[in-house]
Amino acid sequence: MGRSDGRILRSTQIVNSGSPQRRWNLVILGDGFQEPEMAQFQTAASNFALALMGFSPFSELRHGINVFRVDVASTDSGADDPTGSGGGTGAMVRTFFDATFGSGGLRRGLVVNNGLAWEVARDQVPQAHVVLVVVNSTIWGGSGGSVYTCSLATDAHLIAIHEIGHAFGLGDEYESLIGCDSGETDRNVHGFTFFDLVEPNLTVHEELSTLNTHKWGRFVSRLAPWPTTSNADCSRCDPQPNPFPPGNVGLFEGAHYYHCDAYRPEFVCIMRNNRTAGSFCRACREHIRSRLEPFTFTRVEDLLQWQLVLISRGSGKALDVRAASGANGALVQVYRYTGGRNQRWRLTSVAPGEFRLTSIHSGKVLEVAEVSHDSGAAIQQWDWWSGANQRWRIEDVGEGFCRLVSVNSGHCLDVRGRSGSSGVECIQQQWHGGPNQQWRFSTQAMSIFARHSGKVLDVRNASHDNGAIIQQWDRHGGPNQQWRLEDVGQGYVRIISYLSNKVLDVSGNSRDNGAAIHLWDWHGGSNQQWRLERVGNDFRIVSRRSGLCLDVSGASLDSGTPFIQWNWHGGQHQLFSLQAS
Amino acid sequence: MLSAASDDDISFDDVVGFWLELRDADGKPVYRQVMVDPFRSDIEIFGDPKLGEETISRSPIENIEGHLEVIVPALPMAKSIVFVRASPAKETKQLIVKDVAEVLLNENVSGSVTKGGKDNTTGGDGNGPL
Repeated sequence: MGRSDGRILRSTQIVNSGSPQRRWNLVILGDGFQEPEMAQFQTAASNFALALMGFSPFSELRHGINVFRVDVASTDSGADDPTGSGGGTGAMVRTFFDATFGSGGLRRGLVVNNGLAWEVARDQVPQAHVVLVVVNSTIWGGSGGSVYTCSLATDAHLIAIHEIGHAFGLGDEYESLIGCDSGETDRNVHGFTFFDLVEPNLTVHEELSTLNTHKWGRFVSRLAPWPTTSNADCSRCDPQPNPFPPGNVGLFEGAHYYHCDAYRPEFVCIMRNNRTAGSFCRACREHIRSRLEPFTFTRVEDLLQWQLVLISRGSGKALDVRAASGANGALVQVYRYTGGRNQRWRLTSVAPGEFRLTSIHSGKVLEVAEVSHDSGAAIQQWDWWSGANQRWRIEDVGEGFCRLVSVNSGHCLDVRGRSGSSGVECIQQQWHGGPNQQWRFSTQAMSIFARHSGKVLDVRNASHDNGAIIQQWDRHGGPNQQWRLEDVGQGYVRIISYLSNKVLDVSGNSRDNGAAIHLWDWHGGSNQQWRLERVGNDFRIVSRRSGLCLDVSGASLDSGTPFIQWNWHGGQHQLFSLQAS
Repeated sequence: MLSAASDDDISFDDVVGFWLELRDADGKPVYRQVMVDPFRSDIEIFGDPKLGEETISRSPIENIEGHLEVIVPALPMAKSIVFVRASPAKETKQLIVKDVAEVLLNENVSGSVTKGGKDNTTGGDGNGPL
């Protein structure tokens, strides 16, 4: 039993969203597959990855998720299937992870050697966060614990997805402990009503105020009755069908193994039942999204597609090729932001962790003059020849700023003399942490298009005032339709009007659906910070304060329609594309 | 590698459940994650949709054994990982908050496990099973 019953063949990354150091990593192991059967496991692992990536919220967070497959050959095929657990054949086979049905006295309780599974996963993928073992059997089964299992039976992947929900701390939303048809008599009324439940998708309180503060109150449908459903007979599970359209968020009675006095956020959720057309409910989705936030940050590799502007923390001025020169040896300086091509740079990965910065104006790259190792050496542009003095490491220093470290010298890009003036040249200098060595990445000016209307984000009446309304309008390319995105750290950006340098702001610091979006001076509040999340080829733009999305009010196609924030529901008027102005 | 974000939006006051905390030298939580209680004495059993079964239920197991793996950030101020269970004493309507295990962190971010650590009881006597 165990390691002696097979061998590890290889590991393969089947979903690659970036370095495992920065992503949430799922490792899929196989058990009970003999070497000639390995293609079957490989197909099953790919199918699981596809299913997970099609399952919200993972579908929207896929840029933060890696999936690895580890091919492990077992001596025998299948899994142990002991008798005495309701239909077991008595088969006993030699497999690497000792997969066996019958845990909990029921045949479909499928378990493996969890410790060994983690050991192998860590050997192959040291950054593993979650481990799933797919077992070579078509008998329905699976289970949770520190390792998740599922068989090859049709839809058995749903078991693993439910269990992955537990990996995020989600609670069970089903309203019975041992089954609604079991005749259980000790599950009528939840007994914990003096205290709430810690799980984000469960509550025993009916007060909306409590839900608003700590649970899913902000997603509740306004017209939902309260409680949204009630169980008329607490001696059994509530038999009523969903009285509302799917996706309605409210307070549905029956959860946490009790028929009454415990509530769940939606009628249907994979944390409640094993429905093939199921999904995670809204509260679960938002909690998973919150947990995975560190893995979905806007990081350097996410910025590669844009032309970038580097803003000095010390002066707020932009990295600039002096006099817009096209010549080798032209000095690089800081200058007030003009939007010119000599202030725009393309970031390109040239080796793991190393980048070059190419001037959009000249096509030449940022380098340390004379391949110098000395502090104080000049920074200039030159044709790319792949020198170490042309390669830079970009290292996060917090609060949305980074330092650029020369691969050649180990010194940092620095503004001479810590000056705040335009026209001061850049040098390399030993790192001292001063603001003149810290830089913020900003995009060039861009238009932000609403997917449904083709119109762009526009400051009404080209106002410079705090409180100026943001509306959609036909694109004319004016400065009131141009925006820069600046990284403010932890995956968020501020969206800056090219016209006024004020930022997109949720009015009243609101967390409510329908709150207006306007312009305001930057003060750093979470209602001024936004996360751009890919949805296909578009983005949704999510407020850090509320978790709600930028939305064209009423899905209107008309120019002049204001922007608001609203629950994400996937509408085309919540999707945006960005295009350089 | 990165770890998942702390559950900062969740209230850990007057709640029933299980979670882990990173605590600083003063015992103050600096990172928390809600968890499924790893010491549960049952296993989830899933209905088979192709047989028209959509329900999930639980079935008791006799021997609780296994392997617990948690991933937490290496915060410089964190001195220990503590697993906390908060459970109600139904008769007295009091909440018993118990540190069921503690891992002391050293410079290499590893440590020893202490089971049945101190109780933080909101009323009640603090007694409870591990």
